[in-house]
Amino acid sequence: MPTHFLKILAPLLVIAGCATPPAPQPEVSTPRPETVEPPPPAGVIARNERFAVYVPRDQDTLASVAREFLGSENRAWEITQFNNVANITAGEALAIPLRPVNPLGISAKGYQTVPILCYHRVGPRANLMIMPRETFTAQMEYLARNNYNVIRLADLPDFMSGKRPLPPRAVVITFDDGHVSSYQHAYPILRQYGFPATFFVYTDFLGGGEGLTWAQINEMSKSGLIDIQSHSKSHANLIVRPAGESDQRYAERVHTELRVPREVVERNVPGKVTHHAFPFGDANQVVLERLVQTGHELGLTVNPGGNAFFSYPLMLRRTMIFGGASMDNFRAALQVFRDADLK
Amino acid sequence: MNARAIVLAAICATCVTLSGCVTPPATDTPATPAPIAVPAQTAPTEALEARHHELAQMFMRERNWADALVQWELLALLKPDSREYRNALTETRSRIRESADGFARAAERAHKQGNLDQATLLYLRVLNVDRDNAAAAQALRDIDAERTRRAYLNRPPR
Repeated sequence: MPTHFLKILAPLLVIAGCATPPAPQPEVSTPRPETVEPPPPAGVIARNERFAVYVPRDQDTLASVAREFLGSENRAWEITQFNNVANITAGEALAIPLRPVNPLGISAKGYQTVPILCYHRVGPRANLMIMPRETFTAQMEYLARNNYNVIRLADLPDFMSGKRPLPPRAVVITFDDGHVSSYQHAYPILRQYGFPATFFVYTDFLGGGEGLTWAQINEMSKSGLIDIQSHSKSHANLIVRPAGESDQRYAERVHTELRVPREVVERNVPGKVTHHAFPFGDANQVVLERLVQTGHELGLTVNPGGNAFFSYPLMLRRTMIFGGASMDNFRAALQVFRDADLK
Repeated sequence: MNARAIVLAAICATCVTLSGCVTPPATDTPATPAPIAVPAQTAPTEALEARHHELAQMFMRERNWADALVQWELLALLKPDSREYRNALTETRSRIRESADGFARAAERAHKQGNLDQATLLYLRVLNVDRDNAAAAQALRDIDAERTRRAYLNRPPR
């Protein structure tokens, strides 16, 4: 090895020899600049009866947060709407309204109304009561593409009593009678879009001919999309009385027309029957009294228009969608808001 | 690489290793650590607070008391010690009471006079400022039931 390398190496070795083993250090925490906060905590960081302030974790989804705090993922829209976000982000605090912010759907420009659409049959050919399959599909596609929220009829009572808000642009779909085409044609399309619907059946029609069978009804009911409710026993117009019918006989007949379908459906299908669509949309004071006596909470007419939270629940408006309806007719039926100057 | 370069590299490596073992002499006072550049982070609720504070102020400017109240309620939860938020809550509640009471009195007058359209509009105005006003909500339900009965239920049986 050349001598000049040794000359360099020697002092270095001397220095190394002077080095002492590390002395134990006093435990002094390093002061941190004041601007530095600990990493955001995940979980609930504030809560009262009105709000929970929540910092989502990595594994959280909007649906899981809605389920945890509001009891249902169907209420996720309340979180996104209040926070004005499309989705949640881990680490970013959210305000979750535990009490509805605007349960009645009122604003300075007006108030929310819920259109209830009334169909009868879906089939290959059109007439007044038969909706062509393609037209029905186009209407469902229109709802899906234009941010309408198809809700269950069963969601209406809580909205009307002020307990639960409905998503904006809420719409209800119903079918009357229990025609087999509602199983053959409408149900597959509703399932394709994930849209719930209520089928109002008159029980004398079921189980044969063109009426739905109980097997078909149960299959649809088990899907969770289709709710079976009452449309009377015989489809008689309940405000039409034969000549000479006494008041008592009339009241008894009305009672039977309301009670029997309820009992028959509840015997064959899981769930309660509490909604009744009047045949021909007609009712009178006697019918409404008997409707309440037989345990119904909603009555549905075919008077067109949307329903506000304060609509009379025993005479809800419902808009018939006829077989020949154009897309303009259909759009006009979607009355989801009533303008009013409420300033 | 020639022998000279290998030796130089060995020397450097030794120096680096040794310097790592060298410690400053122990003293009673801890050494001041060199400043560390740490990126500033925000509290997790800071953005939430800023967003809803802006909304609260906007709703106040628009005299939209009902929506402003909800925002102040959230802000008061986020910062319970904030005098600004407490005062804003008190002020907004007072405006809501004042405004709702005025509309409610006018609505009751219209209802008594049988002017159902005007009564409906005024009860809705009550609810636009005071969303929890159960009396106004019930009055609207009563009016709609009355109207429906008049329009559809008094028809004689056919």
